[in-house]
Amino acid sequence: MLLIDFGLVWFAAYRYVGTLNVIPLKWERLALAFLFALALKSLILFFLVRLGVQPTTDIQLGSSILVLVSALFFFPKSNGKEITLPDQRTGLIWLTWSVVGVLFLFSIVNAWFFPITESDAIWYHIRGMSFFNEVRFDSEWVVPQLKQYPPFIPLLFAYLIAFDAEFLKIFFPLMYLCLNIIFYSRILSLTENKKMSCLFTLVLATTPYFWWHGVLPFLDLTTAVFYSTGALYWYFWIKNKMEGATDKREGSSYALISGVLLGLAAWTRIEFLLYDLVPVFLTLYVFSRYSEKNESLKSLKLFFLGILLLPSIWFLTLLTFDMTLWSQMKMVGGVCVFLWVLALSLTLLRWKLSESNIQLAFILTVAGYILVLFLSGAGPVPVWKKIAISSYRTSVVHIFYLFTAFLGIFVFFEKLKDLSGQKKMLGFFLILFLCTHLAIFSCATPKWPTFGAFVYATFIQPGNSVNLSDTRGMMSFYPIFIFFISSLPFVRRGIINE
Amino acid sequence: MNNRKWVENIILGIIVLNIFVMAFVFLIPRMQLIANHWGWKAEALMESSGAMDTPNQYSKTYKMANQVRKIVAEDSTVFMPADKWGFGLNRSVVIQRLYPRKVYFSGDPEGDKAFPDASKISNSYIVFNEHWGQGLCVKQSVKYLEAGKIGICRTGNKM
Repeated sequence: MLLIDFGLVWFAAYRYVGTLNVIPLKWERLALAFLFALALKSLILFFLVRLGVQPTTDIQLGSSILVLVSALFFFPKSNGKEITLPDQRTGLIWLTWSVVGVLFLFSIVNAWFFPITESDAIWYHIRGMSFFNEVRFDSEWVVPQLKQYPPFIPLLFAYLIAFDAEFLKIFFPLMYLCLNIIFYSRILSLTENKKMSCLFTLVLATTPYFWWHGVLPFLDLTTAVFYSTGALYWYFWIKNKMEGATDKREGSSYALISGVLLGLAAWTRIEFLLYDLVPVFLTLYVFSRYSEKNESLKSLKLFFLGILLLPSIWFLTLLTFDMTLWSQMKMVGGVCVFLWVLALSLTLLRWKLSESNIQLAFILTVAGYILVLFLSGAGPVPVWKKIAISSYRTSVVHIFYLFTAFLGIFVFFEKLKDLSGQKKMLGFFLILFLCTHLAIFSCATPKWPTFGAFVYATFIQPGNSVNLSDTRGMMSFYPIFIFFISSLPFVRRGIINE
Repeated sequence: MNNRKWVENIILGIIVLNIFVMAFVFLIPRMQLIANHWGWKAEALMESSGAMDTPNQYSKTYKMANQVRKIVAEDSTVFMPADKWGFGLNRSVVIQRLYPRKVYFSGDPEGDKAFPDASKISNSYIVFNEHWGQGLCVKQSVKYLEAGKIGICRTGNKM
């Protein structure tokens, strides 16, 4: 029953992805449709619970049939053709997908075998049970802080619980597989070279941290899949815009896909709405620099709507809780309101932002952040120490990504000045991501009060810090980073005989 | 070494080293553990020490909670001691295993409010340890759990 139910939603999502006409590879369409199907399923469950309807199997099957019928009615069958690449016979394709396949199988076995016993994951499990049984989001069983976390993973657990499936971790290995498929396809779309796609997909798939989180029931791999794939599609949108592409429909499709995926990252881990500021800022910069006369703002509207819809639904739900909101949650809620004001001003009021305005806004934001950081610095750890610890962590957590981090050496062999504007934009994305990461963890109270404790936990007892929130958050960075490295001309020349 | 060899070799080296680390840190230890515990039920696995990369911090609490789960019916109310005596009890684990049973913890405002009426609540149980709850089970038949000096008794009548 579960397979039938999910199959219906997946097929509906696949049909929709086909109509977007920007995903030429079938496997990529399937992987993207899988992510959208999860999102759709979580939304169905969310509204059922919100309306006080227990999401029993019958009701879920009914709603899935409704979704499928609507998809068949509204989304015509795509006549998009598969892209034809020059014949590149390489045994590397078999090797790549064999390695990915074996790793995926191992992760499935692990996820099936080990029950949920990890600290935070236990709460997600409890939340899943309470969503299904109590049909409410603010169960008294759950501690207040965890109650305020976005509901995506607990909703997926509730989905499986409704169908009496005991294999609650099943979605995590599938997320790992989807990430690799989409990553491979995007590099193939960019480089049009299978050898490059294979090599870099192998780097990503074999990064131990990613595989590990493919069997752990935490929020982070899911967030990383949504955020990084969202960033990759965002890159194709922005690249087309900077190149002056005339096909507006393609731009709108990419904008919608990336917006929805970036929004889904925040629907999983709410602080990713702050990381979403990176693509938002760069998008505004590109739109101000490469503005056209009588520009259609459809793509911008879809992008903002995609990002803001899901987190906003959750913030509205939080307002109905009979409890004091966590201060961090209020801050992220404030950012959400700010983004709505910005989005509405730009799209409905048609505010024009000049390049200098964007630069000024960036400087003011940084200055404002530093001011707020020092004004709200009362706490057991002084602000300067928080910044020092956060800087240290942002620099050294990469050792947990082991050899994959070494790809960074290629940057030193590239003439960065000669890079195209689009690639520079992707480079800025990565730099701004790290700055945002640094800023977020400078605000948070460190786990240990001294700098020495962090050094100890990094090099002497790495087990203590390998799974800290900041290390896990960096998972969203790596697929984009590897993609950036694959786009460097120096690397391309080193792999392909041209 | 020309550019082509160099770049490709670095990438292949990264892949090989990644696989090597993954195999020795995650895959082999986990598969060994799976082989050694093959056929175990989820309940027993919860009480085990867990994988090397994610040791199970709550095996003792799982042992206790699983035993309580076997004794009390789904519509029961369970009063538990607080964690402050080094009971090794983890709240989330207890709730995870006993859900949908109603669980109150001593020291919680809700728990302390409901506690005086424990004997009036049908199907209510008290889990006690050496610091808390023993006196309430004096007149009741007590079952000691395997996890140390912890016991359970029924205070409320059957429905």
